[in-house]
Amino acid sequence: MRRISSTFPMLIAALAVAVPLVTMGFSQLEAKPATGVNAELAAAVANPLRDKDRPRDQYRRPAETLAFFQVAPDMKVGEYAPGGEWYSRVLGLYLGPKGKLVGLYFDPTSGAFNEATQKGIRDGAAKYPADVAAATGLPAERFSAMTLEKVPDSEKGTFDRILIMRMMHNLNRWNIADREIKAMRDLLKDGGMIGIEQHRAKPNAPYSYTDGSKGYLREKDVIAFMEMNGFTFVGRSQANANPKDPANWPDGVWTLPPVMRNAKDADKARLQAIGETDRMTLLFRKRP
Amino acid sequence: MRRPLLALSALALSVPLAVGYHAPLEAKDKVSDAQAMAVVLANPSRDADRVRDQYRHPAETLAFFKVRPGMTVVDYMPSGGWYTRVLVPFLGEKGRYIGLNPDVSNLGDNWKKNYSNARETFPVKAQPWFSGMSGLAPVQAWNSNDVPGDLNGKVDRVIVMREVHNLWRQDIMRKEMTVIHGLLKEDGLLGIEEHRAKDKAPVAYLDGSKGYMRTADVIALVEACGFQLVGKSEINANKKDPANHVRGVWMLPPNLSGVTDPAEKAKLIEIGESDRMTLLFRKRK
Repeated sequence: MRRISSTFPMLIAALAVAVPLVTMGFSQLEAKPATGVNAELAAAVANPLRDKDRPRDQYRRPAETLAFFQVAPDMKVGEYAPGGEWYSRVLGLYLGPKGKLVGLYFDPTSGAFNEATQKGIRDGAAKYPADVAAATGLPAERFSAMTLEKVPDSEKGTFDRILIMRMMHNLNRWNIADREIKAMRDLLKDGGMIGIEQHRAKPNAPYSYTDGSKGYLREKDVIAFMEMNGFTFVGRSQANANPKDPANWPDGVWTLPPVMRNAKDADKARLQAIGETDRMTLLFRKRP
Repeated sequence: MRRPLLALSALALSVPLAVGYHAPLEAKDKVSDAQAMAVVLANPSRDADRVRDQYRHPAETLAFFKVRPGMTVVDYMPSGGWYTRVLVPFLGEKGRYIGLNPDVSNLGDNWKKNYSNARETFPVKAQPWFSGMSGLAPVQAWNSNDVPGDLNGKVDRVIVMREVHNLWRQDIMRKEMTVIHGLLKEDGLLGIEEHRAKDKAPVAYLDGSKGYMRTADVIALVEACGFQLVGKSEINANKKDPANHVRGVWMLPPNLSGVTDPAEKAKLIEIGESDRMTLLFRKRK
């Protein structure tokens, strides 16, 4: 009796914590209208210009994600490290008419990049406005870009939002996270926010797996990192959660779609069934 | 008559604390550790250092870090050598003392001037501190970019005393922690002492330039580099420190940097050295 009476309350408490988490994870997988998605955002996501991008919407959930980041159509928004510009195309359609979309590129001089990569970064920033214009049919003047090498004073304190999509692991492993986040913090208005989408490691994953080289990071490490760099954690969304991802692929996130690096044909169906990674979706506010 | 009594009561105090951490079998060893430490701290070679023992609590701090004679210990950025002068005699002939300075190749001129080439300069600098003494641990030093590969996995303890703010400020924390992580044995421990900022301190006060860091930030930073917090000690706490000095922690003793007004100086001396966190981490797999 004594044993039962002492462990029972603990079990109840554990269940009380676990149940909402589990249900939250699964309910996000159901296709249901996202909360807080305004008409402009819904229209941008549904725009036929995005038809080639749309197969990934089921994994990347742009409407739910941008709604959670509280991105309004008239805001000035920085898209950090646009890469393949998948998000640039939806952001361009959403912000182009009334807001401002700015591509933010790595500081090429941070020491992490060789000369060819430095040139690639500068070239990427130079052609970003034209790229987004071409994808959205809007004039290139609606868009701009800069590297974080020297943030002009005139840009400081002018951004409502900055979005960092699946890039924290690279900042981490290249050892440039602190300086890049500092530059972005300078760009934000007081109270401005950073939204982060990032591949999520299991909380007990070994350090060798969470050092950035596999693409996955632990959620607690990302939150702590942002908090110590001058931000307050606002909240998390499970919009990009995927409970089917074991998050332990020896070769990292790139094993899963859309890359499926080195996958044998026989494995592809299994990987497709899992889908893109399990990801955290986190929102942070600049603190004084 | 008073002095031996005091020494005895200090022993009586420290023994039960130490025993609490270990199996009773080790209790006898712990007593001798405490005795060895008492002898080390009383050595006349430390006469100039001893005035700071009341603030730095070397015996209690190293006991909390589970540092024992015979161990291989890395002292990260030994700087003026205050802890070197405790560790080298305490670790003893069977131990090994290693001073480790950062990779200064990307740092400013002052860092290059003060911290480069530790391998050659530090043992020479340390030698006179121990003249005439015996039973010492060998003293070696490196910078983290030239530390020999065969030292990886051989270190029992790494201690980082009041240096995390510098690593943070210079943006080299992750890089240096990666080296430290590699040096430690699988069951090795990392001990950190750091000036403690108020949890609500503004961001501008926390960039490392004031010397103070928030406890949550230090824990998070270290844990993200492959460690797990094992415990916290309040041994270096100082409730009198408001931790908001305009020019940072260096306004307090022992530096009293730039403090000219006698009344202000007296006030700062009355506070003593800073409020500090004392943290212990283990490696995580």
